[in-house]
Amino acid sequence: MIVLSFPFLFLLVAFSSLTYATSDYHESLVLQPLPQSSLLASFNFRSNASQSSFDERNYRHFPRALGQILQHAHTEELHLRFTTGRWDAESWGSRPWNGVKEGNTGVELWAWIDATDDQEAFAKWITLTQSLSGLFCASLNFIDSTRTTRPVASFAPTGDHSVSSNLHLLHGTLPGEVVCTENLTPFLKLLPCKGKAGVASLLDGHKLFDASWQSMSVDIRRVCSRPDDCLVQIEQTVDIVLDLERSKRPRDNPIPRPVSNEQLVCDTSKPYHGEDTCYPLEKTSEGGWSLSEIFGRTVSGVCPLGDSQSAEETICLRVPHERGVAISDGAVEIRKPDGFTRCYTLQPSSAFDLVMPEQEATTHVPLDEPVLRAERTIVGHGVERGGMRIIFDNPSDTDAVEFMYFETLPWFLRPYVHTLQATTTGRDGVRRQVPSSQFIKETFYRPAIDRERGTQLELALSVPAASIVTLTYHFEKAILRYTEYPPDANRGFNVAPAVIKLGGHENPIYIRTTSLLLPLPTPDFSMPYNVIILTSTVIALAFGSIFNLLVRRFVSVEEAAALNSQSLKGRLAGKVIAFRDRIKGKSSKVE
Amino acid sequence: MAVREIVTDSSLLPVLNSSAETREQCEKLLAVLDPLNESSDIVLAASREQKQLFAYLARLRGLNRDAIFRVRETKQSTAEARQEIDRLHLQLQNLYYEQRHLTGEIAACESYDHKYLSLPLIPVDEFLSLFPDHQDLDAHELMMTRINHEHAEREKLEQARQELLKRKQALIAENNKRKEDLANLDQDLERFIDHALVMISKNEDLASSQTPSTPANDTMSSKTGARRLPPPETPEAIQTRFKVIAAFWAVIIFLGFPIWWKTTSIYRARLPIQDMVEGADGKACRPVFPLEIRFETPSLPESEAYHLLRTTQHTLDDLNEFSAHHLRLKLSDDHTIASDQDILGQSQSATDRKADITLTVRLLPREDLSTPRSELHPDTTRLDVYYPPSQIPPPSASSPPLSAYIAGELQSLFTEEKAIFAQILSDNNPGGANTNGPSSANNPQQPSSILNSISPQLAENISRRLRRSMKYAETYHLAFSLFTPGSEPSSWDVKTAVEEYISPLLQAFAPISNFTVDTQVQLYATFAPTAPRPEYDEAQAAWTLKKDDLSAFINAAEWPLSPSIGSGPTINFILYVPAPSQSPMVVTENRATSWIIPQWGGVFLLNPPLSTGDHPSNPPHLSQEALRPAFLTFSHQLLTLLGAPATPASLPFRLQTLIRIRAATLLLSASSTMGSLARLTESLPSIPIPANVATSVATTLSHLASACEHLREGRFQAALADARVAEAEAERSFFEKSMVGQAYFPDEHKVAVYLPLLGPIGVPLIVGLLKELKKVVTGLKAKGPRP
Repeated sequence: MIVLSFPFLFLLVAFSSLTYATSDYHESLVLQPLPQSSLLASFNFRSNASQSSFDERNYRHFPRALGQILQHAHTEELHLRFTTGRWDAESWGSRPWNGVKEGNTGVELWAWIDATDDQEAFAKWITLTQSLSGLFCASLNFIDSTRTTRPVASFAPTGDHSVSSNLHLLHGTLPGEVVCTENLTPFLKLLPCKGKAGVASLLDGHKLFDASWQSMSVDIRRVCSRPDDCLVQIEQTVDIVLDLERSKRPRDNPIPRPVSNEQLVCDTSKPYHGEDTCYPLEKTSEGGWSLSEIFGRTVSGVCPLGDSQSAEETICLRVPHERGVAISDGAVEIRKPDGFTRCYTLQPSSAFDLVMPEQEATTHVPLDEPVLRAERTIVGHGVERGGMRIIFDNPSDTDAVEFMYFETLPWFLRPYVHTLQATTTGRDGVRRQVPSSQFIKETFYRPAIDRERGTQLELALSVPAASIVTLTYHFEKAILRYTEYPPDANRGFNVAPAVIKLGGHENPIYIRTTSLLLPLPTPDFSMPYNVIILTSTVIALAFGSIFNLLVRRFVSVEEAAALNSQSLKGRLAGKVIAFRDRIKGKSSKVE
Repeated sequence: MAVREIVTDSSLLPVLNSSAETREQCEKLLAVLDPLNESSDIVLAASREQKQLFAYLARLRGLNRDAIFRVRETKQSTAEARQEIDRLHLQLQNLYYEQRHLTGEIAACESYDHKYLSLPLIPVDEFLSLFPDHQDLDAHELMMTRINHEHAEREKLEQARQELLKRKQALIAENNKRKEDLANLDQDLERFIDHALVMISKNEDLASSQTPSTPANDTMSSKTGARRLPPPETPEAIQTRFKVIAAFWAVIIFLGFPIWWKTTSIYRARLPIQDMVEGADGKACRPVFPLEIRFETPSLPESEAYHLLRTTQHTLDDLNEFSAHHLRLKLSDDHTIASDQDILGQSQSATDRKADITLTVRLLPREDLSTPRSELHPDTTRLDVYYPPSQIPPPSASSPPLSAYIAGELQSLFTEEKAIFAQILSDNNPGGANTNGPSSANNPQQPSSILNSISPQLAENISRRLRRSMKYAETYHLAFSLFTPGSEPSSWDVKTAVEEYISPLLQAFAPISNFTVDTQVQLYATFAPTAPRPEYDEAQAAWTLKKDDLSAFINAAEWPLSPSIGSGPTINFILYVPAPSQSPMVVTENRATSWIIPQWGGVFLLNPPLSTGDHPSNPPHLSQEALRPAFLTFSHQLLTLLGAPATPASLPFRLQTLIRIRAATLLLSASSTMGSLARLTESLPSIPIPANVATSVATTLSHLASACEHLREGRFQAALADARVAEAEAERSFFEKSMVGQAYFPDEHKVAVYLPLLGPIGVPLIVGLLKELKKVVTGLKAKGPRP
């Protein structure tokens, strides 16, 4: 039912299942303009390798680098995500691919590893993260035991696995990782056409990481049509939401310039409208754009690896049919009956560009409402304690929403689960305190061990129709050891986003909250030296006086003078004084 | 008329008159205008009367104006008069003031009280009695003289007072001087008493007579110093001080330093440095290669065969100039007689302790030959020697031609192997010939000498091959990659090609190393932007790459040739299919299409036939047949990269040689690693040596010894196994992670941090110690000469 509410995704799913077995390689691009002059571009690349050739290490479309890692770490299924930015669900609607191809802010990795016991699985997991870290130029090697969890109910394998195999699911996330060009380059290298032909030729780091939101994913799984006829499938996606105005800026002159007064479109009906005051009018027409403008290049032909059928309908555009679109010569346009989709079949070797002229918008492609809105924030003040607040908003007026809520907390954030409380707010805006057991059906909780593992909390929740449920709990912040602080300790510590899974195993929907920044008490890092030096000085002072008391001989002042005059030092001092007096006397005489 | 009574001014009378006339005229007019009078000429009369009235009114106005002017004039004159009166009045007032002031002044002068009146003069009568001549003077002059007199008297008295004061001062000064003298006398007396007491006590002890002048002298000198020295310290105080300082130093030496030492020292396990260095120098183990060659002489009687064996062995020994590598001939098992060199091998008859058979020589008689002929089997290690039956040596012959022939054949078979060993040994110990000069003088068969004996070309080949070949590893990963700059060919029959051309080779290598094979297809593989482009050569009708540019052929940045995961090196084999626009591609100098990248892998340029048409293109699929030249080249390159010798033709024979080479190189490299480790630990006293390094070293050394033993006895497989373990352990101990300290604080750093403590504590302690030492030394010196 949920899938039916996402027509264009359903289309993709149906489309991909059509070409499933016929080809070894398939790629597609879906473009959809979003409100606020944004554009969603969903790239999808999928290639298969037969299980036998994979086992024999004869790689053709499947990347050898990744295949080696999987075989070395005995990984049966792998999911890797690189995400930056925030999906604005209020304006952009529900997430692409139902959020399945999306990850936490930063890097998220989960995999099913074949191992006899937990320890072996973890050892292989470490091997896997180390190798992937090298391959993707990401800090995946920092996924240690404190960042690794074993989710119980939030993730399910998507591939077909033999029942006998002893699979372990491990999940790790790096919320502070900055995803950038150095991750895209190895990502593109995994593609058979290396981003040099086909829709992947549009992917350029400068544009991609200039987007409002972007997510890259790598999924490897085993797909079996029969028990003995299996394929190893790698699916790579890139989803980006580009700000059209921003993307259209020329690369050599990227600084935004103010619009001149004559070109401003103002609402003259406003009382304060004047020469220097302008209330901008919302544009009624949709801005014009073209692929070469927003991506900086055109699609260079087709990646000629699949058969002829798979090359069809590579690029799809989601705009109303009455919208005028100009395309390059040779490409064939096919309009879908739903009234909002058209797809293009490209010429194998000629460049393809797509130009959308500026046009008055009459109809809009309907956007789907998200099934659930979730928000997670840290509340409280001070450096010792804090609180977590998670807000679930069910926009539906009729149906309750059931879902799994999964969060991992670093060990230095110590939650008090007994303080877990729930309040509910109906559409009438009245807040009611209710026992949390009314919403929480099941709880999987694994407490943290200092410096060994983080907290893992999975809740099966149900939010009734037309209501907002707020969960809160308190936590305490641990004080780290001196060497455990990162160089930028005062920036705060990243707390991984929570993952929300709706729906069953067949067609799940995933929602992820934003990552959080937790300020921890940070010491003055020069402290040890100060302490050493200060205490040393105090000890030295004490020692000096005691030692002198014990060792020195005490005489009266006159006796000391006498002793001084006898000693060499005293005689020298006397001579110096006498000499000084003589010089002084001479000079006074001269005067 | 009341008005007339009030107004009497003559100038106003005409006004009154005219106003009266005007009034009359008004009344006249009113009468005319009486409404009762209704005559017709009333208007006329009225106007006439009105005119008259106006005339009157005009006059009246003029008079009024005159009156007003006059009033104004009068007022002005009145004001002027009044001003005059005011001025005069003011003058009068001033005069009054002046008068009053003057009278006041006069009164003040009259009542002025002068100073002279209050002067304490002598009374007038007395004065007059003193000076009677002034009696006739008036009061004023009298007063003046009196005052003058008083003044003179007073001056006189003042002078007297001053003189008295001076006298008083002088007296006080004298007094003080006296007092001081007295005090000094006190001090002198005290000192005198002190000294006298000391002298008395001393004198009493010594019981000697002192001149009485000494205390007097003393008193004199101390009188000039005028200072007092403290009393000498008691021996108890000196002893206490000595004890205090000694206690502090005892704490430092017996508590402080051991704690410091214990907490800052690093664990260094004991290593058998001597053994390690000896191993590296080649003293512990001199690798020798006694190769066992089995003779099969099915057609010869035992004694003849034995004789032949002996003569051949003699010839061989004469020919051989490299003592480390020698051949031992042996009859096959069905003949129980062994050569005299093989006593050792025979005595240890256990099968697992037996030496490997390097080569089997079969002697086969053949009638149709005049001279012996030999043939090496390409797939076994067997050398067939065919000889004419007439050449069977008689037992008396000392050097039959057949033995010479066999010896020569064997010698030539092993020429390259010997050269390789010589190269390895001399590489490993380059200075050996010089340093061991005197000791090895009696041993002319040094590696360098055999190197000199072989042809320079062969030596060059061998050293190049050694440089190219991979380091030994237990597992090699072979990666076959198809690179092409376009999208075609995108598939190849690599599976069958590997099975056909590579797998047999790998099976043959199985006793030495394990292999994994993976393959990949990489499309759109472009050259590096900095790499030189191929150029079109008209003469060769091909795109050519310069030989010098081949090193830049591999685009390491973009081509995914990452090494395999897991232990062991990766050998890459690259099959490059040039773009149709650049096909065919060859190397300029020799039109070659393949080359080896030393210690890395091999490259093959495959130029498949292009499809005909407007746009020539590469075939989308490469069949096994198309891959055949490439994979044959790859198999050859693999052999080279693994370090197998190029001759002779028999592959098993070459593999046997390879086993020996590997065993030797591993042995040497493990020994040299041990030597490096020994030098490292000796040169860096601050690095820790964990216990597992010590165990690794022990394992290495024991395996090295056993490998050496195996070599000496000709069991090369076992030697290789031992050498492998030794090498692995040696590498592990050398690259032990914990030997490189993660957090390294140099001693200077520690001292700098603790300087605020060590400085202020150390300085008084050291100064105190020095003082005490000085005292002890002077005490000893003082004591020394006395007895």
